Amino acid sequence: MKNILSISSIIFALLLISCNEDNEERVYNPTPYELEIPEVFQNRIIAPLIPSDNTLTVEGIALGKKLFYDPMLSANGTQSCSSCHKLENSFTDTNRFSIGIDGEAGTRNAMPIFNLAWNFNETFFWDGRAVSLENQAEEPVTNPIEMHNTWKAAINSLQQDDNYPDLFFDAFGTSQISMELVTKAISQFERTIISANSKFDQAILGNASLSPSEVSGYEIFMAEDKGDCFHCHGSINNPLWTDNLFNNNGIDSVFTDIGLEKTTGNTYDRGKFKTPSLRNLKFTAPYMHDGRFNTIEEVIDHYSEGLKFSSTIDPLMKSAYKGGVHLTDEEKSDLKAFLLTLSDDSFIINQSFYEN
Amino acid sequence: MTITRMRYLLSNIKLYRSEDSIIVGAYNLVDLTNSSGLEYDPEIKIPSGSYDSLSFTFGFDSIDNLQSYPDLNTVNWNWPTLLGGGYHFMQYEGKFIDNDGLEQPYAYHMGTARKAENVFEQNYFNVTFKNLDFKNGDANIEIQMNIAEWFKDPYTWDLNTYSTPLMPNYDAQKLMNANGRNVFSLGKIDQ
Repeated sequence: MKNILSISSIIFALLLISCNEDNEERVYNPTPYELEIPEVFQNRIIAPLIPSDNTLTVEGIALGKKLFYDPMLSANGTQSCSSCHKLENSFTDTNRFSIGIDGEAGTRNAMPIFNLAWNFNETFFWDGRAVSLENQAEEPVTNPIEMHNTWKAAINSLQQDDNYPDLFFDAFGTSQISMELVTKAISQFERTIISANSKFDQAILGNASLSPSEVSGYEIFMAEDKGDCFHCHGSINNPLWTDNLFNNNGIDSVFTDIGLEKTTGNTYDRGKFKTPSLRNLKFTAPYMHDGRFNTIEEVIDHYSEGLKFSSTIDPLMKSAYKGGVHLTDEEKSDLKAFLLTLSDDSFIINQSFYEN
Repeated sequence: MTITRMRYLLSNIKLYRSEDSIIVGAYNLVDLTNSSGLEYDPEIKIPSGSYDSLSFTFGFDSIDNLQSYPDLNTVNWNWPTLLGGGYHFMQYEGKFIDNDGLEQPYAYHMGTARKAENVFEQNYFNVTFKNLDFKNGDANIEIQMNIAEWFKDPYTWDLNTYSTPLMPNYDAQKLMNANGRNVFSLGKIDQ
């Protein structure tokens, strides 16, 4: 017995030595990464938010990307972040509700991922229950209808892997993997996912011109007595096309999903959901928090004549008792034409977001 | 009546002393929805001395309204170009019960007034408090806004007539301007 003990001690000691030797060879010297601010954002909106305790590095971003695409994070090794957040769909899912590893469906539509470093309120998910990108990345791993894993098991899988411990060392100076470092790496990658090259962006910069229908659509978007979209969805001056706040946009009169109220406990927040960006609508159907609308036409029809009154409906949802402001067919068609100019075709084929 | 949102912009904040004035701040957006902007620290160190007046502009004057402010753009504070552009001066929103007993929205949004297509009128106003007895140092000057006054004086506001949309409504914009003159008062000065 004593011999066995001493043998295992020796093996353990040898392991420690080999680890130490390995770390001595690998030098922790991460390369700082400066986020490139798109020209169309410069001088229009404020600088992106990079937390001081998770500044970007080339190594951290590369590790985050690998993790984002790695099914190892799920309990049975079948699902990664990218299973439901697909680049070709602006990092969302074409399914109304994404299907988790056990075949169960969620109750909300996956949110697209882009320009998240410009979410200055730092509230994530449709109901704002996560308070930072890092915090957001914790949940899908353990959610029973998503990856259905435990963090302990996920960390264990990564720690046993041939490559990950070294990659974590390169990114964070330690090969001891933790949930904190996994979510930090994923968040670093996500902050580099920027979309700012739509036709409208190019028009702002003077490199493209809009058709008369698209111009007319923008005017409807900006008119308080017509679309009145701009109060929540931005404008030529705020090309994020969202306010990153939460509103009840009149899609229900009775709520099965109470949205923000579940997070805040405030009944005045009933039925409020995050304002999604209108960028990349071409790729992100279906629409709304529960993916109830399959087309942009259905969304416009909703705001034009489908509004449902409830006590928390936003005051900007005008004429809710008669369903809305009733845009003409031409106005709807122009509005749609404008909305499509916000889609960024180059984004969904951007090589830097592909799996390595 | 309920209020679900209240944001407004003050600019060109000045202190005066004998034939001299200093601009202590360019602008400040107050947002009661998230309690931001309720306290404002001057951007400059105020020269020592006694000051007898304080003034500010509600909204932006015609020159300041032409500038671009990334922080205001980021919170969707812009005023549509077809209505004269620049920025909102105020967003005051909620619901009321109309003459038919129905709960209806109002959106008391103030900014540049559009008189006709491509004809715009400035709609800011200045507020001055005289006889201020203030010596600089660690002082706190309280400015109060009586939000009921926006609906009272001189025009008694009828939300059945003016609820929403008011941004393109020239008459409503001018009435807001008139009613705004009495909403501010000087509160305590702690020094």
